[in-house]
Amino acid sequence: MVEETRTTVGGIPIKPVYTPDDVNDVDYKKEIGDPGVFPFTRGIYSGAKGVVFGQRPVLGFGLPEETNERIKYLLQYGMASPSGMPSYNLTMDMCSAYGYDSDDPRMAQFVGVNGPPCNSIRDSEAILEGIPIEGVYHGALSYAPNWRVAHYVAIADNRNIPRSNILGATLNDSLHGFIGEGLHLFPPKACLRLVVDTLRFVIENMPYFRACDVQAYSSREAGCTAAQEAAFAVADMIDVMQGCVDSGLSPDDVSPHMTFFFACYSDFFEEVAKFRAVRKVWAQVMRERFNVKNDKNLRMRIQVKTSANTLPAQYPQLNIFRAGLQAISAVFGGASGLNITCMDEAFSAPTEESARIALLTGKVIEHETGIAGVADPLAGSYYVERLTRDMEDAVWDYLKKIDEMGGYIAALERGYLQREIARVNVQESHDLDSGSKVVVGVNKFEPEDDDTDPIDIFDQDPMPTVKEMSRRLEKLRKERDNERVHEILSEFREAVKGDGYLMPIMVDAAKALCTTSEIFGTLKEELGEDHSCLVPPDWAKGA
Amino acid sequence: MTDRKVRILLAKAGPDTHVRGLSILMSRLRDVGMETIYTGLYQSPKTIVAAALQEDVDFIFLSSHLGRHKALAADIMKLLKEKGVADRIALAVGGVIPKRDFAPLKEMGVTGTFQPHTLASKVIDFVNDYVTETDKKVG
Repeated sequence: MVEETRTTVGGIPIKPVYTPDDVNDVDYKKEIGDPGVFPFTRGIYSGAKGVVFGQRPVLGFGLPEETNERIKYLLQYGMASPSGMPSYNLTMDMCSAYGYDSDDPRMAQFVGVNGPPCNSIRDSEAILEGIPIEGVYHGALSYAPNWRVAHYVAIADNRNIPRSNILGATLNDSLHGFIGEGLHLFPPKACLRLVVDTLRFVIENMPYFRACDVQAYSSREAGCTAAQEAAFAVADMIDVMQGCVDSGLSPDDVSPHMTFFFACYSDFFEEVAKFRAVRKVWAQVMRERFNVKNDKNLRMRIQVKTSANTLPAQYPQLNIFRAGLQAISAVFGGASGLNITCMDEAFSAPTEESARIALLTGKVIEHETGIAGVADPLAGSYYVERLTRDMEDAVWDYLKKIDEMGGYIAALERGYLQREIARVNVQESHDLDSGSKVVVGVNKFEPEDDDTDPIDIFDQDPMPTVKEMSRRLEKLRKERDNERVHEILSEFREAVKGDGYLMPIMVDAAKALCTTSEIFGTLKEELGEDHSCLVPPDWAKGA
Repeated sequence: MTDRKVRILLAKAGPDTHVRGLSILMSRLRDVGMETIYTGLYQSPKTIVAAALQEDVDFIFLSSHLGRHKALAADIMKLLKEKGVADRIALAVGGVIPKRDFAPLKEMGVTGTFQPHTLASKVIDFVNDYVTETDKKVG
């Protein structure tokens, strides 16, 4: 007989009521601590400082100029970084992200879709038209190789702005692509090399630029539970930190560059527990495993974007509420920065209107609810403290398993992480069919079927963008010094082959107007490609 | 429920790497005895149709999350017609697809359209109903 136990969405058993007996084994001073104090369970700041709301939606579409206009539009509505600086979170089209130029025939349907194309530094300049390098926090969502970061540096150099004045962040976490949305190009060990290369460059040149933002969000959206999301993110960063140490960098120098980008789902208290638990695990890993000296460098900085996968097409207006609730639990969990996902996620890229509503939802929480005025207000709740401890145990269990396999990359190579996620996904699909899990509008209270969309939807035809970008590429190839391009690409190839330092050459390549496919093409040829990310379902059955 | 083994090609095109839906479907379709073949990433309408022919499938399931479903479906349907197999190989499209595109997709000859969060059981029912219906027609 199957005993019926209630659990969180992620499978942690829960009881109908909690009492002091449930937290007997949790010592406040040792295991929770005050806000701003090791192990940082209650947050990384001593007060309620640091929560910035819904202010940096991921954006980008069409021509570089169109994206530039959208950035300027949202800056008017207070789009800002966690530190309150004007800021934007830019994603490129998938063609550029995968290293293809806009005139590659295989990519024709996708140019300028879900982000602007970026074939050369000229496109980066167009995206930044009227937006200064200094005084703006540049969120450039790109993976290693950090061709986008090279563009920012080249632009700063060209304008005689010191590199150290470039503020912002890049993702640079290619290792999460293997378990996330599949955004990775090279074999795992080559990815690690590129990630470390960027970290080294940033540490040497741009101390205020965050060069490693762990994409836990993408693995969560690919199906992870809350505990898996937290554990896999920490495991990934353990491998990256070890890679940095192996190449001579100091953990105290690397740690300030590591930020964590988490999702926030709908199981309210499980998410709060996740954020509290993972901060503590991270602080312990940094102190005990990597011997990080400065307490400041033990703090896990958490950026949150509310989930997109939990926002179905049915009753899209309900998604404003769902995203708002998720945002509130992220605030209770002590997120440093928060982006709220738009209600029309299941239909298309956001409309201007839905992007604005998402932005203003955060403003309502910030200004009208009063929930952000006190640090970690749920601390001391018997339930939340119990759940935080259970979540922590679940994360440590995963970390132990992954360690036994030889670390994150080893676990990736043998398919363990992918299999774990596939197992959760397939189970959830069964649970939705059986009704043991309910999503309003999806498998209960379904709307009547009709052929109209319930809201306005963003529409876009990529063909004019393809044409225009191809024209610009042709012009660029004619105008630039092709001898110089050839010279730099040869130098780059030798460095890739010989385990050389790549970022400085990429900066030179950006200045010489090399194109995206020239840089990525060289890397693909020399490092090999790895497209694996869909796991055969048999794996999910524990083969 | 149909008796014969239904063969389904699960396809991704261009730089669209959102495979969660396909991976769930792959498992659920196999669980009910259907055969699934996955194209891998970065395919084009040409390589998708070539794989469909080689594998002699009943269905192509195109998964699309970057908004280019209409153009991709049109190209796939055109190729299926050119090869003379449009009546033998059916195309269904799932992913981030607004309802306003359902009618144009149907007009092209797409047999099924599925938005995100469609229950796997609904997709399985759709395949069974379609195959039973077609088999009846063929006799």
